[in-house]
Amino acid sequence: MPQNIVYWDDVTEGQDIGSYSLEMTAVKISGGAWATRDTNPIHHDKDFAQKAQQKNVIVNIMHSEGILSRLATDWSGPEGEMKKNRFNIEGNCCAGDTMTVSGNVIRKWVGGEDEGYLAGMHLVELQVNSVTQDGPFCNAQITMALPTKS
Amino acid sequence: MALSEKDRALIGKESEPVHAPDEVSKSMIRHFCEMMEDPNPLYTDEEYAKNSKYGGIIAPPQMLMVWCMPRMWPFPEFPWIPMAELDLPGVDTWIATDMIHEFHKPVRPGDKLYYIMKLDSVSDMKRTRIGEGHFITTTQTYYNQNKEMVGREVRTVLKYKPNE
Repeated sequence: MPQNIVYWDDVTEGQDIGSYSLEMTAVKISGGAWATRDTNPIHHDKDFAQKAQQKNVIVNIMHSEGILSRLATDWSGPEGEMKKNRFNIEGNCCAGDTMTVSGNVIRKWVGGEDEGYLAGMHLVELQVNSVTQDGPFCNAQITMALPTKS
Repeated sequence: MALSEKDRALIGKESEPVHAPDEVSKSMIRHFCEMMEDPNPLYTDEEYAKNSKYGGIIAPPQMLMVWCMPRMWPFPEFPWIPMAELDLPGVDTWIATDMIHEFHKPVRPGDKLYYIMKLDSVSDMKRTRIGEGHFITTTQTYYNQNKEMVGREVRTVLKYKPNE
C-alpha cells in the first residue's frame, strides 16, 4: 500500500493535521488496558468504576497516549519519527463515549545544539487534543522529526 | 508541611534496574495496534518494514512503558525503588499530572528492556483544587539489552488527601 510522506519543507505553522472519531466501547477500553498491561479494575470492571464515581470503565493512560500518537504518524506517514510526547489528562473517557482526536502544527524548527538528542533534526511540534461529547479528555504536544527534500 | 529528614534524603536516589518480564514481541505490538487502530506499516507490515530505513518491524515508540509493566502472576519481587520508600504521612491517593516521554532509539522485537527510576523532587505539602498533597517527579530511563538508552519518561504525580 502506498504511504503518504510529509516533508518538513512543506509544513506551515498553524496547519491542520486532520482528525478522527472513535466509538469507545467497553471491549475497546478493556482491550486497550490489557494490551498495555494495565490491570487496574477501573479499566475493565464497571461496578468498580462506578464506586470510584465514574459512569463506566475509563480509558487508561497508555491507551490514550497511543490514540493521540496515532494522529501524529497518520498525518506524517511512516517516514516521520516521533521524538517526544508531553501528555496531559484533563478529564475522562468512559465506555459509550465518542472520542474525537484532532490537531495542528504549533512550531517548526531545526533542533539546536542545546537540545541534546534533537540537535540538527528537522522538527515540528504538534498540538493534539482529544475530547468526548462531554468536554476535554486529554491532550499532547508531540515533537516529530520529518524528512527534507534536499 | 515540610518533608521529614528521611524522605528528603531519598531525593536524587536511583532504583536498581527494573526488568521487563519478556522480550519485545510482534504479537504484543499487534495487540496494541489493534486496540489503537494504528495502521503504521512499520509496526505490523513485515514486507514494508524490511524495505524501510529500519530494516524490520519496530515497536510503536509510545509502547515504551508497556514493556516493563509487571506481570500479575507470579507477582515479581520488586527491586529497591526510592519512590516506594517515601513515608509522606497523611496522603494516600495518587494522580498523574504530567508526563514527558522522549524516544531516543528504535525498540525492536527481541529487545529486552529495563529501566532505572530516579527520584528527582518531592514538594512540601501544597494545597490543590482536589486536596492537599506532595508533587513527586521521577525520571525513568529505559535501556535495551546492549545498555543503550532507548528513551526516557519524566513523570509528575500528586500524592494527596482528597478534599472531604
